[in-house]
Amino acid sequence: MNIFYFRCLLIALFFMMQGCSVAPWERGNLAKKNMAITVNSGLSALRDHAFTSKEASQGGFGGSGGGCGCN
Amino acid sequence: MGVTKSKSKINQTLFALTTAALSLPGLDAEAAIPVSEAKANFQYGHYQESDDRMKVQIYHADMILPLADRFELTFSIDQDTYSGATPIYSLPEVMKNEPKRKKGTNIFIPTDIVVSASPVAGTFEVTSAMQAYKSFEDAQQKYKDDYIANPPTPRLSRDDRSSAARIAGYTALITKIAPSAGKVFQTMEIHPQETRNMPILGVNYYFDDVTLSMSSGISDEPDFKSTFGNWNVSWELPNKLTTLNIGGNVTGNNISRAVIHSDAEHVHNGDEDYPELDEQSLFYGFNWGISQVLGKNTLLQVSSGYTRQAGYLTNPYKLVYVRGEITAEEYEQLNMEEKIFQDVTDLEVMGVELFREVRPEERNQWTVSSQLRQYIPGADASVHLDYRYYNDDWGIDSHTFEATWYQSLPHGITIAPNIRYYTQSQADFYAPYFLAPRADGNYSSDYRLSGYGALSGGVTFTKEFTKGFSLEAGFEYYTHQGELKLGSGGEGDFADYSSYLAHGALKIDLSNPGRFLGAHNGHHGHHAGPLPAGVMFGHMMENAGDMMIGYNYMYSDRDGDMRYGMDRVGDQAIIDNACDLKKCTFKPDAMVMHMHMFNFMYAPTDWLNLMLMPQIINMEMVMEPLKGAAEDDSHVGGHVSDGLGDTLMVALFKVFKHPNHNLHVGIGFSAPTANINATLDGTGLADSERQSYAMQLGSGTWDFKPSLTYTGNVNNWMWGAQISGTKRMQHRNKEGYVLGDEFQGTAWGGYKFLPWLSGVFRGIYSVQGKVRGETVTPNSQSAPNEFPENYGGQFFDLGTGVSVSSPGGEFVGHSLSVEWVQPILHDYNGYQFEREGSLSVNWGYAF
Repeated sequence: MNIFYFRCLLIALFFMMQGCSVAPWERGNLAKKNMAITVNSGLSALRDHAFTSKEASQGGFGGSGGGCGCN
Repeated sequence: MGVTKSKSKINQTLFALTTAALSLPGLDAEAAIPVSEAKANFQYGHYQESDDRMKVQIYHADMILPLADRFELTFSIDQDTYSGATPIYSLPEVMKNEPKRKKGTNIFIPTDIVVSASPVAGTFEVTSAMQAYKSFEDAQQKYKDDYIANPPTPRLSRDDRSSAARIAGYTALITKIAPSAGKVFQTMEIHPQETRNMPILGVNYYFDDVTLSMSSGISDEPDFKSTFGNWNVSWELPNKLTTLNIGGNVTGNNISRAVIHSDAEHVHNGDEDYPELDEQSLFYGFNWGISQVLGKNTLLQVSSGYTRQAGYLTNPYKLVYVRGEITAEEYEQLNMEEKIFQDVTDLEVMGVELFREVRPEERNQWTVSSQLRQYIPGADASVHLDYRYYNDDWGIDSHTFEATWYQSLPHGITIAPNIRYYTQSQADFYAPYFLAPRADGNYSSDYRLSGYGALSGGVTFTKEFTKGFSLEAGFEYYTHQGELKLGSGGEGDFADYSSYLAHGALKIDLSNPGRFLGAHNGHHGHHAGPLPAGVMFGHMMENAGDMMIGYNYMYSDRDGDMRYGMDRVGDQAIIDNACDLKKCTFKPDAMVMHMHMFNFMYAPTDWLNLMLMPQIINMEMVMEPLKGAAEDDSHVGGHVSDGLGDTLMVALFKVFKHPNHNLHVGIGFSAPTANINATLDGTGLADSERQSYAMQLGSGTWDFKPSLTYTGNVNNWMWGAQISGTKRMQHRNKEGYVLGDEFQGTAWGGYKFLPWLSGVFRGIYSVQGKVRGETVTPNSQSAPNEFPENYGGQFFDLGTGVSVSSPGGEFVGHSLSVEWVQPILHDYNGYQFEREGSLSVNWGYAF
C-alpha cells in the first residue's frame, strides 16, 4: 500500500494529539453554521455527484457512509 | 455520427451516486444534536457540458422528521434526467479519411474507418466493409500482379491465391489506418433522454455521546439498478473536543442494456452475435475519522476510507480501438466463415478494429482526507480548506484541493466563493487507442481514466428569511484539461471540455427560533374545512405573513377502449378515418402519468396570497398495432417522457369573507418551462420524429388561468364550488401548434366525521378544445393521437375523497387529502382512448 497514504495519516494524527482546551463559553464561533464540516449538505451531494461521475476518484472526506460520505 | 442507443454514464461511479443524497449527522466537533422540528430541503440543479455534450436536470428533496426526543426519520428523493452527446471512443484523426469505394461505382469517398462499418451485424459485414477500402484493393491487386510476375513454387490453388491476396489487403488496411502519432479525434454519440430515481430512507438515534445513523435506498434507471445501505457511528469523547467516527456501506448493482424506448433496431448496436448484458457488481466500503477542536476558532477533521469493488466494472457504452487483436489471417478466416468472432478474440467486436472496453473485475480504493475550518473573527467569515489524496490499484493517484470562504453579511445573506483543483494520473489500461493487444486483456479509452487536471470555481448566495426558511442560488464553472495535470503526462487536448453547474434551493427549518410565536399559532384558516385533493387554488390563508408549503401528487391513467365521440369504435374504423387522409397503423393502448407538483404559498397581506407551483412530470405511453393495418414499427416498445413541467404562478384575492361563506378570485399564469421536444427515439433532436401532443411535458405557450372559488360551512358540513379556465395567450408555440383552451366547473359537499377526519364528494364538468395548428417537426403520423383533431372533448366525472388534518398537537398545521376521480360521461373530439380515472394526493403544511 501507498507509503504516502500512511505518512499523511500520521502527520495529521500527530497534530491532532497536541490537544488544547476550549472552555464552553469559548465555543460560540465553533458553533456557527458556517463552521460546520459540511455547511450545505444538499449542494455537497450535488457537486459530489457531478465530480464522481466525471473523475476517476471516488470517496474520501470520511464521515457518513455510502462510499463518498460527504459529511 | 450514428444516433444509436448508447449512453454515457460511467456506470461504476453510480457507486458515488448512492451517496448523492441524504446528509447524515456529521462529524462536527460539537455533539450531534437531534432536530426538534421537521426540516426540509428542495433543490434543483442544471448541469451542462460544452459543445452540446451531456445535460442533466437534477431534482432533489429531503426531509428530517423527529419522531421522538432521540429518534429521527430521514427521507430523500433524487431524480436526474440525462441527455446529450458523449464520447464513446477515440482514434487518430487520419483514420477518418480513408478512401472507400462507393458501392457499385468507381468512386472512392473519404470515410471514417470505424463508422463505415458500424453498426456491425455479424462477421461478414466487418470484413466486407474492409474490402471496400482503396488500400485493401490496391494491396490485393499488387499481390495478384506480383503472383503473375513471379509465380511461386509450388503454385497455389485458385482459392488459396484469393485468400492470400485478401490477407495482403487486410494487412495493408489495418497497418495503414493505425499511424503511431498524429492528432486524436473523439467520436461522440447521442444519448437518449433517460431518467434515474433514487429514494433513500434512514434513521438517526442519539445516545448521550454517541450518534447512530443508518440508511438504505435504491437507484433505479433503465439499465442500472443499485441497492445500497450504510451505517455510521460517531462518538464524542468526554473531553468534548474530539469526535471519533466509523462507518460502512454495501452496494449491489445490476447492469443491463434494457430496451424501454422505441426503435428496437438501434438498441443492440448491431451486436446480435453477443448475449444480452446482464451483469452484477458488489461494492463495500469502510471509513473512519477523527475531528478535533484545535482552538476556539479552529476545527480539523482527518479521515480515511477503503472501498473494494468487485464484479462487472466496465462501462458497457465505451468502445476501444485495438490494432492487432484480430490478425489479417483471422480476418480472412472470418471472411470465409471458417471462424466467428468468439473464436478469434475474447473482446466484443463492435466494428472494424473496434471493441467494447474491458476493465478489471476488481478495484481497491484508498483515500485520506483532511478538512480544516478556521473562523476569522474580524470579518465574521469562516474559511474551509479541504484536501483529499486518492489511490487505487488501477494505477490512479489523485489529489484534490478545495478552498471556500463563507462570508456572512447583514440581512441574513451569506456569500461563499469557492475554488477547487483536481489532478489524476491515468489508469494502467488507459490509452486513447491501442496499437497492440494488451497481455491482461483490459482496455479503456474513457477520458475519465486518462491523466488530466480540472480547475473549477464558483459562488453560492444564501438569503435567510424569517420563519426559518432560506433561499440559495449558486453557479460553478469547471474545466477539464490534459495539460492541467500536476507533473507531466497529461492527455492531449482532444478530450478537453468544460461544464457548469447551476443550482437553486429552498430550505425550511421549522425549529428555527422565533417560529410559532405569532398570535395565529395553530389557526390556519381552515374554517371552510379541507378541500377535495384535486381542487387547485381553492384555499386562502387568512393572516398576513402566513406561509404554506405543499406537495401534490397526481396519477392518471388512460387505457380504455377507443372511442369516436361517445361511441366505441373498432380497429378498421380507426385505420380508415382516425389519421386524417392517411391510414393509421397504431392506436394508443395505455398512458400513465405521474405528476409531482410543489406548492409554495405566501400571504403578504390578509387579502392576497401568492403561489408558485413548479412541477415534475413522468409519462409513459404504450402503443398497440391495429389489427388489419400495414406493418409498421414506428411505435414498438412504447415511449416515455420525463422532466420539468410548466410552472404556475397564481395570485389569490379575497372578495368576500363571512364566518360561514368565503369567496376568492385567482389570477394565474403558466410559464412554458417544460420541454416540448420529446421524440420517439428519446434524443430530442430536430431530425427525430416527435412524440404525440399528449406526451409533451407542457403547453409551450404562456397560459392565463383564472379561477373563482366559493366555500361555505355550517357546523360539521362543508361545501364549495369553483369555476376555472385555461386560455392560451399565444397563437402558436415554437413547435407550430397550440393546445386547446380549457374550462372546468366543479361543486362539492363534505362532512367532518371527527375533528381531524372528513369525507368529501364532488362532481366535475370539464371541456377542452382541439389542438390547433400542427407540429412543425414531423411526427410519425401513424396513430390517432398524432393528429390535432383527436384531442379534447367534454367530460363529466365524480370524485370522492377523504382529508385528514391536525387541529392541534404535534402535527398542527399539517393536512393530507386523497381523492379518486372517476370518469362518468365522455364525449371525445375525434378518435381517442378512454380515460380511466385519476388519483390526487395533497399534503400541505401551513405556518
